[in-house]
Amino acid sequence: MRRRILLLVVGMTTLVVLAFAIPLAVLIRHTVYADALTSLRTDTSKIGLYLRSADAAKTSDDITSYLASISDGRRVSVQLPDGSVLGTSPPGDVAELPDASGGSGEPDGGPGFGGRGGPPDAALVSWQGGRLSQLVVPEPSFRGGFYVVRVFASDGELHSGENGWWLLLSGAALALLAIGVLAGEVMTRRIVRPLVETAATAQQLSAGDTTARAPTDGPGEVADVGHALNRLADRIDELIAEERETVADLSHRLRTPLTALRLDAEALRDPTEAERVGGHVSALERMLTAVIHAARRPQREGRMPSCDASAVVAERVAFWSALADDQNRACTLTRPPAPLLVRAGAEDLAAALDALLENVIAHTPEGTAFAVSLTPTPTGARLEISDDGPGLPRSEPVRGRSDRGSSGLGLDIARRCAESAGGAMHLGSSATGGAAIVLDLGAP
Amino acid sequence: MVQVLLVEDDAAIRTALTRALRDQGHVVSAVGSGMPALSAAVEQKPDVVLLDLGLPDIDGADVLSMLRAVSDVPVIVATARDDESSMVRLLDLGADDYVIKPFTAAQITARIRAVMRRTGRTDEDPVITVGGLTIDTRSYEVTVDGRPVELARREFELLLALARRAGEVVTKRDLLSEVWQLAWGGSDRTVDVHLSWLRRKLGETAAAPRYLHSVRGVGVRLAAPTDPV
Repeated sequence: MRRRILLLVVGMTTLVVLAFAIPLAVLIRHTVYADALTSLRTDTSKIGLYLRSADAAKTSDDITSYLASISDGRRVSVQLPDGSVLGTSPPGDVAELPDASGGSGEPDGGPGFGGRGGPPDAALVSWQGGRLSQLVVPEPSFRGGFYVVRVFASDGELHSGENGWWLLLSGAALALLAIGVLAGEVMTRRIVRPLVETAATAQQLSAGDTTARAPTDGPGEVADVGHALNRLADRIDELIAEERETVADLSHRLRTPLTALRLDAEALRDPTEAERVGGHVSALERMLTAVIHAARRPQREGRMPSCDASAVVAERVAFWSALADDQNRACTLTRPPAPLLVRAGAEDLAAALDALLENVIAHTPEGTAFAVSLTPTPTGARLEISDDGPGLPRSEPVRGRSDRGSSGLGLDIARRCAESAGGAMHLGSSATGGAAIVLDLGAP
Repeated sequence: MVQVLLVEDDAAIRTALTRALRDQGHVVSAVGSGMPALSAAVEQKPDVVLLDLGLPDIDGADVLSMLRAVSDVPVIVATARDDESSMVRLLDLGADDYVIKPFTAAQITARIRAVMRRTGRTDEDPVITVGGLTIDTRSYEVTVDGRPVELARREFELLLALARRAGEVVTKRDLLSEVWQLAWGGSDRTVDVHLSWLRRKLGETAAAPRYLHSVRGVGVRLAAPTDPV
């Protein structure tokens, strides 16, 4: 968009500059040419007046030096009554020139001095790719002879005065263009910056960050887009909240029929059947609780949950240490002394660690040592739970997957915690061949 | 024998719970909405009211407020909501205890017993003694050989559940149901870890038990140290 606006500005400025510059150029060319012609005739007349002045007899040298002073790069000559020529003759054969007193050769002005004492009047003719100004001046001594004054300038010389103007005109045009581009750039930036930020906000929103908001400080229309996007984001927030509330509410309502089911299951006469049906009811109940828990998560922890993993790990390991002691299990805890923030709620992280520690205790013989280590990583933190037990079974649906109480949803709880914290869970072996479960947790 | 007024709009729960509570020796009268509940509470003067919050005519919380205006009968609220704010609100409104759906008949019975005990409406001795261990169920105080023991709520409930059946092996399933309200869910390890804490605080270990004896594969038994193990 920036490029297009700039192109538009350059195009418009060029058009405006051309609209003024072309007539101006024609005018300048015409004026300069007309001035040059006037100067040509004036100078011819001046020479005529000089020759005609009777103050003193003029030598050839006088005339030559006068001609040099007035020539200004043009060919200036005087043909004396005896036919000899002083100064620089015009190009071509002057014999072919029309008679200065008239005839062919398109005389532009009067033929010359008519002896009336008036101002000398030069005749202009087109000659050899230029213009020739010619004037016939009678000898001052009235001997009947004539001087013929000729001043010639080529077309190039006649137009040479234009160059300065051309330079000025193109300078002005370029300056105008530069100002236009500069103004366009400033304006474009003002429009484009909030637009780019608004687009980035839309991308953040679509990536799931509903806290993102667009800037509203740009030009009116762009600010309106920002406002509209922010209202949309607010509305999305509300809708998500409403949706979550609906889910939680529905799940709550399901607990009433579930209670009836549970009471009926309890009342079954056959204890095996009662336990089996009761187990199903419990599984259903756990799922329902998980749904409510998930729906209420943002309300509970905010949209971006975070906690000090170091404190949570210390607290949970201390909790399980009593059982570890009773079972003669050596328990090693390694953690940074300083707080280590991760992108998970304290409750979720504690539940994940509980599930993993519970798995260790449930699936390794008493007396088996285990270790919990929390280390900072460039992306957040790494929580590793390893034991000296027999290791994980080979097949993937690892222990803890059963929905029958004992180890709960074990690894699933831990995996969900790691994934919602922007990390992942890895299963492996400890140095002693036991199980090692690693949770990578992202930083908030 | 406790006279229970059950206020529950769901017919299935009402029938099942009435049957279960009667099986346990309680006298139960059941109503399905708020207004009959209020009149029954005044006329029948039950020992305890079990109140469901979702009633068709009046909101359960309003029934609770109205009931509190005319009677100080212990009220246990049955609710589907387990968030802290609703619990606090209910207790503020005058509920004596709450139970979260889905509950079992055993949980209800345990709650009824606890409420009766707390409000002094039971013939049961409020102080349970097992050897040198005494548990005061009103003040929540526990002493071992005269030395006070600080217990967390779950630990206290666990100890109480065992003490009330002193000498009997109590299964972990029963404990999960009674103490954690997890009838078939929950993990045995949850019971184990709390038992370990309880042992620590009572000054014993699994290897050298005094009061708490694990019976492998069955459950736990609380007995005085002099009792034969």
